[in-house]
Amino acid sequence: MASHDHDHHHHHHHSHDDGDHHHSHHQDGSHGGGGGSWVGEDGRVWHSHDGLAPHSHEPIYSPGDFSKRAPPLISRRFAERAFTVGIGGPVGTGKTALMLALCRSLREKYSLAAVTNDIFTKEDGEFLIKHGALPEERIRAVETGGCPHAAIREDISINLGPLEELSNLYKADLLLCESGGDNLAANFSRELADYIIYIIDVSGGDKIPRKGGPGITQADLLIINKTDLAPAVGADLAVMERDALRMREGGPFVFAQVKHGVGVEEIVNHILQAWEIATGNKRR
Amino acid sequence: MERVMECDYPASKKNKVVHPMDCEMKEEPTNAASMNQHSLWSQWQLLDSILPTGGFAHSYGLEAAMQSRMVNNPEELRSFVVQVLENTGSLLLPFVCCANKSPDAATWVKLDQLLEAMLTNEVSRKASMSQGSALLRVAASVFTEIQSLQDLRQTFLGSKIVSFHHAPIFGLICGLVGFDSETTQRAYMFVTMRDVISAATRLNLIGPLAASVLQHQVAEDAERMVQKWKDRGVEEATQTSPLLDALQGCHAYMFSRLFCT
Repeated sequence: MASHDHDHHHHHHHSHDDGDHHHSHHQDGSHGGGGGSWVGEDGRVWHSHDGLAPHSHEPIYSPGDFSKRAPPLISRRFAERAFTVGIGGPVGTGKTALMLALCRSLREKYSLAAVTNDIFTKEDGEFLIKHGALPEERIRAVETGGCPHAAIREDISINLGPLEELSNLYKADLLLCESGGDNLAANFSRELADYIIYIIDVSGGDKIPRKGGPGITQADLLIINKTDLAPAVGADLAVMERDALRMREGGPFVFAQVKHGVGVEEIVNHILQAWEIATGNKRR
Repeated sequence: MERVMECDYPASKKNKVVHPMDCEMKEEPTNAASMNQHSLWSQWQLLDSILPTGGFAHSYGLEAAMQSRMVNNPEELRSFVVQVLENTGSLLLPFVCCANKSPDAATWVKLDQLLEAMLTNEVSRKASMSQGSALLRVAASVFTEIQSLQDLRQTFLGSKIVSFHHAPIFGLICGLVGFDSETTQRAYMFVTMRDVISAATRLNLIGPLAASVLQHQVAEDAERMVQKWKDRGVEEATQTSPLLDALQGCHAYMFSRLFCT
């Protein structure tokens, strides 16, 4: 494990300097255990460790730039539908747990309502109800016909309907919309989410941030969840941090263990900050 | 597709539609002709599955029929689609037709309330409401030249007296955009057929190519239904497949499901 960290540490350093002259220095650092890195013919920095095939952590071109993500809508009227936070990310990364954590931290001071997009079952909605995230009538589960990405991107009407209804019924300050969980290409449309959170976890491997895709690059906030599992799955948080910052041009991300409450306050702060700016309200 | 669109319009109709292939042949494109060309673009847009009305989240009862072993293979799917079309024709076309013929608020409210009273299962009632309000939402933002669409939405949104059912809204919008009655009714059947078949593909009942073949074959049946049920008053609206209606009502009881309805 130590040599693994060592490897990445060097690589980290190396890639920031983007020069070949450090290369020899790096090699001097003696990597007996199959480590070492080199600059390939393609100009990228390659290395190998832990018996893995040679690979690179250099950023790859990916659809979407953080700075070019959709701006807030000028025509948006929060009286019709309250400020909506969209939570997206692959299956099993902790979207529903985050919904629960957000409800718990915000429900005292703000009127909340939530819509979940389950893929096959009502489990997510029922999970929230069972754990008393919000009163049952403030939570709606919507099925997406096997197309969770469509429901948050190209045809958001099935989410807009219930969100508007809940917003009016409970004079909501904030609405939460949980995506059904999809691939890295699925991102929220700005017409649906005023603030987009994309959540991944470390168990997918530390390469995930580097893979980019609109969810990772264009979300307003990236959350890297389950950091407590990093040692178990051999994920290097330093690599994830570096790649996340680089792919997102420095855009915000949070390391979290949502289940254990780690990082939740920081996430809530990001949301409320965006809410204050968009709605002109002051936090309570 | 083209066959579905193309039809014989009564000569007296203001909105005589010119077949796109004939456009260049016309020597003097009259004002009316250019109006009609413009209207074709609206027509295709309204029928395109990219229009965000939430149709992809509904299976028209197919998922419930599949889970209850009523539909197990492409052959049974075909008969299911035909039955859905027949039921749509007998129950909903009268509403589409009437809303299209007099696309005004008063008629629309009456039709909406009547349909609300006639839909016998909660699941299809919900599907109709969510698709209808989504369709009005998108139409009001798209067809800004038609002020009454926005007025309608402003006036009735959040009001308890209407439910925004799909069939009357569809007829109303087509009427305001200027489609003739038969095109509107055929279009409604087309949209229904398209959505059921799309749902069948996602349920893996049929492959995407076979689904296109099926759609082409069923078009004949659909046209037969249009001819059989078109231009009827709402007092004739009837349910023709009560079994499917009951099955669809079971959708809410299924634990595992892909579709809203």
